[in-house]
Amino acid sequence: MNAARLTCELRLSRGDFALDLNLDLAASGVTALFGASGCGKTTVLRSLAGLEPTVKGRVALDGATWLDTGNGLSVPTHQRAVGYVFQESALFPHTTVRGNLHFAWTRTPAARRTLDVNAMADRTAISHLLDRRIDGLSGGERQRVAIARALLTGPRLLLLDEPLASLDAAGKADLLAFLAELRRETDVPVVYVTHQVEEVARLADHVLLMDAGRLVDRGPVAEMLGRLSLHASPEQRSLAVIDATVSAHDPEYGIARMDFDGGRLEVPLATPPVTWEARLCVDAANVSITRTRAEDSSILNRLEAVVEAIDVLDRGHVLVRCRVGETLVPALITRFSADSLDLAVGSPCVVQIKAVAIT
Amino acid sequence: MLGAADLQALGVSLLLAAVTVIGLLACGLPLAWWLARRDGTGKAWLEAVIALPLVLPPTVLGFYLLLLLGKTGPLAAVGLPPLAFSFGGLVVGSMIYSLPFVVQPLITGFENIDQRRLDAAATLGAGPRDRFFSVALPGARSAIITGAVLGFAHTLGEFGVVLMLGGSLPGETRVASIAIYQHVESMDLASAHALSAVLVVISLVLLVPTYILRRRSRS
Amino acid sequence: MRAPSLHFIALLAVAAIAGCAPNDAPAPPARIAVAANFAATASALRDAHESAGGGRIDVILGSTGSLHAQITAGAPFDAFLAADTARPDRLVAEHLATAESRFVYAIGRLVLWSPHIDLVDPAGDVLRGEGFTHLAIADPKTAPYGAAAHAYLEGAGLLGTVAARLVTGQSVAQAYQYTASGNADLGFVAVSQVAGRGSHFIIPDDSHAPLEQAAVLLTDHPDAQAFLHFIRHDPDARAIIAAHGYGLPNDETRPDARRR
Repeated sequence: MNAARLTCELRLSRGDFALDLNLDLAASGVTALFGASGCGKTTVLRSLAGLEPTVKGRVALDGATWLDTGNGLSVPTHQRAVGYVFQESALFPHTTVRGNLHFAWTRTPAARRTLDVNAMADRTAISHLLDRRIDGLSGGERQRVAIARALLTGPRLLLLDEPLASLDAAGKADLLAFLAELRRETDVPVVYVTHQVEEVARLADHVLLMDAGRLVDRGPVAEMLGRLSLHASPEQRSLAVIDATVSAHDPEYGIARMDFDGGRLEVPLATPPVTWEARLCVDAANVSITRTRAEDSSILNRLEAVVEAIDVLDRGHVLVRCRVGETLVPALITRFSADSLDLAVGSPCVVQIKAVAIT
Repeated sequence: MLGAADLQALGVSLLLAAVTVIGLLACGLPLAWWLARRDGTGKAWLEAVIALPLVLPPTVLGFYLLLLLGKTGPLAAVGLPPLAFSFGGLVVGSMIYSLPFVVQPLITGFENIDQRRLDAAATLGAGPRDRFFSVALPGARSAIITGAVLGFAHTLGEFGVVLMLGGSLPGETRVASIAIYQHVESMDLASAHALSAVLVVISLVLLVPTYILRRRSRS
Repeated sequence: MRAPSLHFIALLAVAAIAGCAPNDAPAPPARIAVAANFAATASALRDAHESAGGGRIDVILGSTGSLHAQITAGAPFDAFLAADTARPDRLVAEHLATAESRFVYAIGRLVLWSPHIDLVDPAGDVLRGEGFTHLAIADPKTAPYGAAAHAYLEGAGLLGTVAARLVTGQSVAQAYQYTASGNADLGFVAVSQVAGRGSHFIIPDDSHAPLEQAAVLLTDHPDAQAFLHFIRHDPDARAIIAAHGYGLPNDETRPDARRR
């Protein structure tokens, strides 16, 4: 699957909205399709699934052509090996959770079948819900069922359309953790539509930034996060994404030691981690900058860094993007502090991260 | 309480209502499904035509059906057997007469099905026919039951079309409502009341559970 | 819950198919189409005919106009007792009935009637006064009884006096319903409808064209022929017709076609 690629050229116009998008990306990992409401993210997803009858262009996944309107080819949705999870789960209310999963299982060609209904329910931790009716489920439970149902068909591409949008804060946190775990365990390529930076930070490998029906920017997640904040709503902070491995866990203090390319982090963790791979997220507001190493601080994590860019956000604040090894860590500080520290692009500095702010 | 002739008329009524509803579901389900997923003036025209039997007086409808299906009508002229004064003719007339009562709820029921459920079914590997049977039909279940019961009850109470088109032949086209009319005209009010009461009871037995079911499925 | 309703429908379908097949075993009884105003009389005639050893008769009721339309469209009726002479004459002209079979079987009689026992006086002078709000009449354009009532009012010079108070029913049956229900204080109805209740004034027969009701034979069904013969000639049958408030034609053997 490593060499597999998803290529598409999509054109569609509807009223004063026009979609014009060319894409060629590695069909692996999680690709976030990011942009403001109405920019056409969902239309792209629907086009990939064959749910937009008026779209023109080409779609091909790993050698299989799904759409080629120039040659009059359009593989109908039910013959494309895609899984689709909608904003609000489109489960069938006339049957149970098991009935919903069974629906998918019976329509999946034998060659694409992987886990059966019970194994998939086990894998997605919904076994206890199997005999419940859909109206009795919480929003988060519904989305888990919807994801399990989509995975049962053995999709070669999984499309998630803002799966957290309809959930409350607790439900979001829970499902986000679930998706993060799923990301590590499955090798199905995912296209994930969202306009939440945090979801991108926690889940994505690669980011596509859309605006008004066009692709405006793309790149690996670490590179893109800073730029996304310009497109994100003001309350969304800039986040650092750190892929780390756990090297030690101290049960007495409840602290895990995690290594990444820029150094070592101490992260509070009550119980030993299940996997050794972890993605850590740090909000830029919880990152501070010193010019020299302060050894007597309560802040555990101090990392050597170089200032790569300084974005002035408004009169009072700047976002200082610091490179730690290969990882970008943005710090949100006052413009006064930045000037007092005499920070400039290329300045060596130390970023301090409160351990409790790492999630 | 009911004489043999009245029981026979009641039997014809029930059979007519059942066959009419089956016929209407067979044509109405695909028609409503097709209409529910369309927009524009073509759809408006078709819906208006479907609603016509609500507006036309039944005797007028019956009269034109008589002209259409009778032995001098255009259908007979092209060699089809005349359907007027036969049970088959009543089925045709009743299907037209009860059409809006069955098809309107079906259209509404299909329109209310969340498009995302159908899209989801497609992504799960269900083709168009599969989606109709496994998602649309169960999703419109209460609308189908409502339409079937309304159509059944409406056919049971049908009078004008049947009177015109059927000719009131005992055992063939004399339905309960016509038997009641004959009793009233012949001043046999006791028989008329008895048969009417039976019709009312049958209708209530059908309609009350339907409305209970509808309320439940709404909440 | 999904399955039972479908099963029910399937069962009914089977019943429907099974029920449709064996319907035409014995020779059908004679089917006589009868104008609705003659319904009660026709039932009594049928019972009398059957108890006198006649064959089985099915009476099929309807308005004269719709029965005529049905016969034209091929309805399997064997004879027609109409409420007028125009429709049977037209059937004869259309060769759907034979001229020899046509005869007047009853003459309708018009009455001014009220369910209140003291409203209508024996001379009908109530029409000249202010003692009522609504007077029911059948539509003079389509209903023979309406035309007769209109002719009477015209001849008596009353048309102007009552015009504002007339309520018009589609048929004499509707005029009767308006009156019997009290919505109209009095009305022009058929004697056969009122059977001696309330108060009434019988309109003189010579004040309007006769309300002749004619019968024709439509097939050669022997029971239908026998029934028409019974109505036309049997003294018991003629007594039943008279008892229901109808006049009888004077010459029972003459076809009576040209008298008008």
